[in-house]
Amino acid sequence: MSDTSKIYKQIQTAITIHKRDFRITVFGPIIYIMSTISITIGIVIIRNYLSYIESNGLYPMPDLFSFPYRWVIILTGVYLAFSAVVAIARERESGAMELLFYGPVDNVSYVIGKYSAQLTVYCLLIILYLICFFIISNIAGVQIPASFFMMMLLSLFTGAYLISVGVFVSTISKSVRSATLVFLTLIASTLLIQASQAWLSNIAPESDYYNPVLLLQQLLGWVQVVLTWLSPFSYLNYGVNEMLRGNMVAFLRVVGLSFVFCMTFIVSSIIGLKIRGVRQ
Amino acid sequence: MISTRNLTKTYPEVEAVKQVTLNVRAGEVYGFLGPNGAGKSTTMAMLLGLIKPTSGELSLFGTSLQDDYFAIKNAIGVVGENPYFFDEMTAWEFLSFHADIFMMESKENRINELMETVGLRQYANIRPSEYSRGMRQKLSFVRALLHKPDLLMLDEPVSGLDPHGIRQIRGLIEEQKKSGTTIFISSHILSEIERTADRIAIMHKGKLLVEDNLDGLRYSVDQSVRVNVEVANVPESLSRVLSEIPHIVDHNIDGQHIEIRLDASLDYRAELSSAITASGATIIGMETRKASLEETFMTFTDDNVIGLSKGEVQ
Repeated sequence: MSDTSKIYKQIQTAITIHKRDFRITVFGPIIYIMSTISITIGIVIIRNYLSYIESNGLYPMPDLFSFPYRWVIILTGVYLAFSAVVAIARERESGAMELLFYGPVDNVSYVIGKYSAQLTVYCLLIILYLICFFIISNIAGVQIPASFFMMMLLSLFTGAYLISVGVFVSTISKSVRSATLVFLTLIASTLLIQASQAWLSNIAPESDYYNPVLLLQQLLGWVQVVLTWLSPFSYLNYGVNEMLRGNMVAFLRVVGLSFVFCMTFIVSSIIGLKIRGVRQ
Repeated sequence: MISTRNLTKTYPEVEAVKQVTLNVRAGEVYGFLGPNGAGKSTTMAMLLGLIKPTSGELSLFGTSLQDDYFAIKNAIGVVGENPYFFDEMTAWEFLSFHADIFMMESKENRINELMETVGLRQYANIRPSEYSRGMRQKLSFVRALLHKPDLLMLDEPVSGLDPHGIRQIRGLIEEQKKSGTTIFISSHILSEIERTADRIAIMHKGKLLVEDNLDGLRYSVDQSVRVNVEVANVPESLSRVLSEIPHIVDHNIDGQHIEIRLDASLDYRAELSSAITASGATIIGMETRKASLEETFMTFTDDNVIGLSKGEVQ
């Protein structure tokens, strides 16, 4: 079989798997519950900002929408990545993955099909969020800045990166439980380290010598440096901040790095599935 | 059709499959037997590309999975031991999804035709999770046959089925055999293999002990044929007469019943009949009893006689 024919078959198979998974996600209730929660959180943050503006007459941030949008994106991305984790790990655990591999499904078409289904849902949700933010901006009488669209572009890559991490974790995990545990630990520790580092950096240590706060600040600072290079959340924050500062080179670098990491995790998932096999 | 040479799978704690060399010919029904833990499922998984062999070679349709993965997979239909389904799909959607995986054109007709054949047409819009075990197994068969495969690989296809279900599945297998499909069946239900298989392989503790047709297997374990003769007017000289016939290995006279073990290399029944009649006895009935597959299988896999298989049999 020629390489072209093989690639064609891989694409066709991936499309079939994609359609099935997309249908499962879209016809299930959880995606709607999750997106409603995400957008509600976004609305609450915006409402608080507007109340603050009303009572103080001041803009709390350079862009009213960037912070709530970041939260919406993080929640959505994490959910869809988690959804990919569960879907793949459950398929392996139940034997459904083996069933697929009885037929002309290989690790490339399987990973691409699964990944693209979640990514498509994510893209559709971003469009939905854009509509919601437009409605909110009209109601609030605050115009959405042009930078918001750049942030949307960045969020596409952030979500793509997050979902690829989820797919990777599930392809190498033994069971739903272990995959869930690994993924949630990864996400929770990343968010916790970032939040702790931000909190600790605001505490001034009383003494320079043998101060545990200082030590912790330094330690978390080093971890934060590593996370800045790895965490999709860091890329989102860093990219948005650079964009708001008008540093487009740094912004594009973040977009590029997110894409590279995303591709790295997809390729790792394909290799991981090949090594790990389809059996429980 | 299927060919392996020194196929081996080693896990850190155990050597699951040890240098298995087997050949499945086109158009035949190949029974793959072995007790639990013999390495049958591991061998099947390697044949299907689900597990990578540690060493050895395997080819399907004369080529390896690495060389022509999609063409080979398109030509195989598999019924696994456990019928897996997707919870969210009805039976029809499940089959339709698989037809898409195989890029089938005009899938509707084929699905309806097969569902009708196995009597599931009226249950097509029900989720398989609501099916009985037998119905699920039949649905697995339909899935495996959807794309008209040249090779059917069946892992315990009738396990857990009631006699009616077994009969239906047997009918499907026979139909496929008639249409020229090569069938590889792994099963514990020896009577089913005995009925359907052209050739049989027996695995034990990771080794392929023997690969032959049923008569060949029987001959491997016992070079004699048991003949039960019922006679009237048994003369005293009958025992001596029987002892003098060179092809009789052993005999036992119990009243009017004589149990004789004859050399199985040729059919000596006519000669036996003449000798008994000549002794003055009257033959009322004669029955030849061959060792069943179960007896043959037990002999092969029995640890007490396993020395037989260490090198000599294969």
